[in-house]
Amino acid sequence: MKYGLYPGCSYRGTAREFGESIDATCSALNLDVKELEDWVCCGASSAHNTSHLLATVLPLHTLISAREAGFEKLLAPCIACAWRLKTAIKEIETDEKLRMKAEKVIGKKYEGGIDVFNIVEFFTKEIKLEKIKKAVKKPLKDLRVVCYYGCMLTRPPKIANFDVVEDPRSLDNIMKILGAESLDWPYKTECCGVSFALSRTDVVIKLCHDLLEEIKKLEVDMVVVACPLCQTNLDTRQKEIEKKYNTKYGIPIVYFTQLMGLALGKTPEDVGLKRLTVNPFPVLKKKGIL
Amino acid sequence: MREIAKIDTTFAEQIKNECGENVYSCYQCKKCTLGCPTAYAMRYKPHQLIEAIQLGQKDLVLKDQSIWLCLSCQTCMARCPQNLDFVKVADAARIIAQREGFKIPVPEIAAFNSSFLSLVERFGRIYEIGLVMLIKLKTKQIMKDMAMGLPLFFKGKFSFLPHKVENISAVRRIFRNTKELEQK
Ligand code: SF4
Ligand code: SF4
Repeated sequence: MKYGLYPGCSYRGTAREFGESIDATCSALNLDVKELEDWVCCGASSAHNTSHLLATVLPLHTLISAREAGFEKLLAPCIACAWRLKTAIKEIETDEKLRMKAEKVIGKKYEGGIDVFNIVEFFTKEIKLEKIKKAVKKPLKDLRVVCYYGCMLTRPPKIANFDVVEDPRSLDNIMKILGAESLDWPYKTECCGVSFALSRTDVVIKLCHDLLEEIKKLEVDMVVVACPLCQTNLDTRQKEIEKKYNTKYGIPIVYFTQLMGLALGKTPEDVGLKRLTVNPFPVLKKKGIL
Repeated sequence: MREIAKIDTTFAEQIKNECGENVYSCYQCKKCTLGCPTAYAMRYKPHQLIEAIQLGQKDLVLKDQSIWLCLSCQTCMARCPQNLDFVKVADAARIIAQREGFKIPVPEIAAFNSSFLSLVERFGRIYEIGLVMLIKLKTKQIMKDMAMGLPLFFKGKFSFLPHKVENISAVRRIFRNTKELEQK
């Protein structure tokens, strides 16, 4: 038992193919990952608007239970969950008053000693690219992609401690070792509208439209993402955006773990490929990957 | 005649107490606003909100929709040459606005937040159909978002039943204790 998994609310819900592809990839790499029992939501998109203390205690509860279950390393695939968990650690460790209040609310002490990884860090920093490269069975030859990091993967810089803030490369590096061609572009870390997905959809539609316009110019086969919110906004809203702006994209928005799973020899079912709204099968077949 | 804005000289300090950020470190370079994805929709842009806090314009900041249009994408704070974390400032402003009974001027966002947290309090986790339905009831927009919801539904991505955590009493205690401690 090496890595604890904190799936977060999207892993088996709206980002089900993300969860499936992570499970598949970890099994292809023989990684020992075990789900945290009875985990509780981290409060991601809402708690920080209501109460600083609540936004801290919800993730802290998870960190304490992970330690109680014997984990020292915790994988939190969702970028928003990972951000909240890491922020809680940082704040608890630097703000004595907050720590006392938080421990009082939970009724337990926080002992520290736990590392949190988002899914990109997990593969690049912890598992390492050499290991992945050795396990590639079906390289993604001729596949032309663009990696979209979104706003939260590299930020806040002090907490994410991740790659180059304004020009990250981690996802591109993963794509390259899998055999794909990954293009450079200036919109890597622009925001897709994140948590406004269900409230101010007008904002999401405008921001995703601006992104898709840039992507269209690159003539790529697909967009590679690592965040459930980016994926859902760009994929499920694409038709709506096409209609509103009277244009056509039809660009599949694929989790990097789905492509990784395929390259490591897993099937399209294993990585939940059918769950994407914009169909990625035709282009993958054309490229001889499926 | 121009209305004279009410000035609350303690506002900047109130923000600092809430989140630890000192708004006086801002020297108005506007870098935050230039990178902000929702600045186009805000009446007062991030650098203007900071200036307004410096000048004690509490009503102006807390009544307007601008603080509610911040996505917490963290572009502003990542680029600020003064290391001022506007995301924390916006969080603090939203928290103070609610605590002091200001009406949230963007009802959809208020509905999202309260629905989200009530589900976490009740089940320990989010459950998508519940979240969508609650928001729809609160905003009275039943048909909105069908274009997005239906495909998700057919792809097996919506669960009908909440996944309730077993130790729900621990979750309820967290919510209860947080409220109690904050009222003190
Ligand atoms: S980037 Fe920082 S210093 Fe510049 S205006 Fe914004 S908050 Fe002020
Ligand atoms: S965090 Fe808010 S204010 Fe800052 S850039 Fe993003 S949306 Fe704009």
